[in-house]
Amino acid sequence: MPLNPTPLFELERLHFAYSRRPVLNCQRLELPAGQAIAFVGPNGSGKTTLLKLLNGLVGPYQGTVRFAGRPLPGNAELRRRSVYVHQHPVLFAGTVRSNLVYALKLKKFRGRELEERLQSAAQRLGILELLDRTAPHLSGGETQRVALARALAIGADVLLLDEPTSSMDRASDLALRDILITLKKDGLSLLFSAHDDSLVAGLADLVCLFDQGKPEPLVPAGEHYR
Amino acid sequence: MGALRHSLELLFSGDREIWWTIGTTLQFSFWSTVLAIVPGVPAGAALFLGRFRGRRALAATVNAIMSVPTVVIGLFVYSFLSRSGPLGGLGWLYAPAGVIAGQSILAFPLVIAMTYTGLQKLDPRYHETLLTLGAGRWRRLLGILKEGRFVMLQTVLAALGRVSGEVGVSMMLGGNIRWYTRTITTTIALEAGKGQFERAVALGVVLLAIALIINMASHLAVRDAA
Repeated sequence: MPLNPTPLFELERLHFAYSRRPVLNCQRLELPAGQAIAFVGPNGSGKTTLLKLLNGLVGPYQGTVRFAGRPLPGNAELRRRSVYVHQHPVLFAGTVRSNLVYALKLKKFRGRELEERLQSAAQRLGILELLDRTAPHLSGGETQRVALARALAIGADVLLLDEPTSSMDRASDLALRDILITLKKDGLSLLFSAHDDSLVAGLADLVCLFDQGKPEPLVPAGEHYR
Repeated sequence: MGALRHSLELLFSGDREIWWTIGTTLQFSFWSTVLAIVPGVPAGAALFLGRFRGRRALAATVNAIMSVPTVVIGLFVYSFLSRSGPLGGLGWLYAPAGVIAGQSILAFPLVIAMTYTGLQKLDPRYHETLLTLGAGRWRRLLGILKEGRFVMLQTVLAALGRVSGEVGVSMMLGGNIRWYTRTITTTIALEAGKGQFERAVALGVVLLAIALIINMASHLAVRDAA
């Protein structure tokens, strides 16, 4: 195992603005792979924007962002391995099954492999009984689990989650936390924004504090709460 | 009231010329809308999906072109289709093809602008979800158009309304030739000029009905989308 493995994401002299309004400023930040990293900070501090930027959903920006050692724009590996999940995820019209099938077909999975991946992801996220339900009629917690299942089905091992447990009832919140902890144990990289200290304390390995668009260096979660 | 009654009698007596004019107008409007929609919708969607410098300036330019008077568009196309113009050899001037071409050019910027602004009103999470799941440019375009089908319907109806009610292009490029290029609006202009208001009012009522139907359909489309 190399002593200094390539970080999952590297940010250098990053500057991003929405219509000339600065949103993100970062001199240097490295985000290691296989960790649960929490982005913590007040509303409007740039957490969601950074998660979207890391997934190539917003741009253009000044500076450099690398994923697995390669610059972001046009990085096919990023698109293959990472999925961003909204705070309130979008499921397309149709059933839960058709949502998963659509995502799998986008990645060119067909036939038996498609079905195996679908079943495996649905089982992992505990949504087997939801497969034939109409997707837009699901509760917030169910929608979040389907969105995660969709990401896992297509083989994503880097999940960028925007406040994954917000606006959920207690039972759904706890169920999702358990799922996220299991995914972390399975070796997935989880980058998530959160306001809920108990979620950060229970899930995160590392914490990145945001202050007015400036992400600070990572600290171990235990140290953050000391 | 007497004149209106005479006009309606003329309309419902099955006057062959009146109904031929209505049919021709609808035919011209249909084909010019189709010819404006086919390139206009993808162009508007590309403007929405594109991430390039000058995108907003381009959108503003398209919006500005939309407000150019129809007679100016007619004059512009006339310069191309006239005998000495670059497309004079086609023989489209004072022919149905000329009217349809002119009306298509008239509706084209409207279609681009309405598609662009309509898609901007869609939930941005939809496009981001398609992107994060790895949908390519064409898949995203199709997905966005599917999601924005009510926007598309409204755009089609607006284009239809624009071309069916215009007079400048039809008059300049069609020449208002009886049983050949005469439309509702050019007939109204001609008959009113001659002081024969029954025919003009009868066709005015039809034009009003067309406009009302288009507006009601557009309103229903927006209501369904909401």
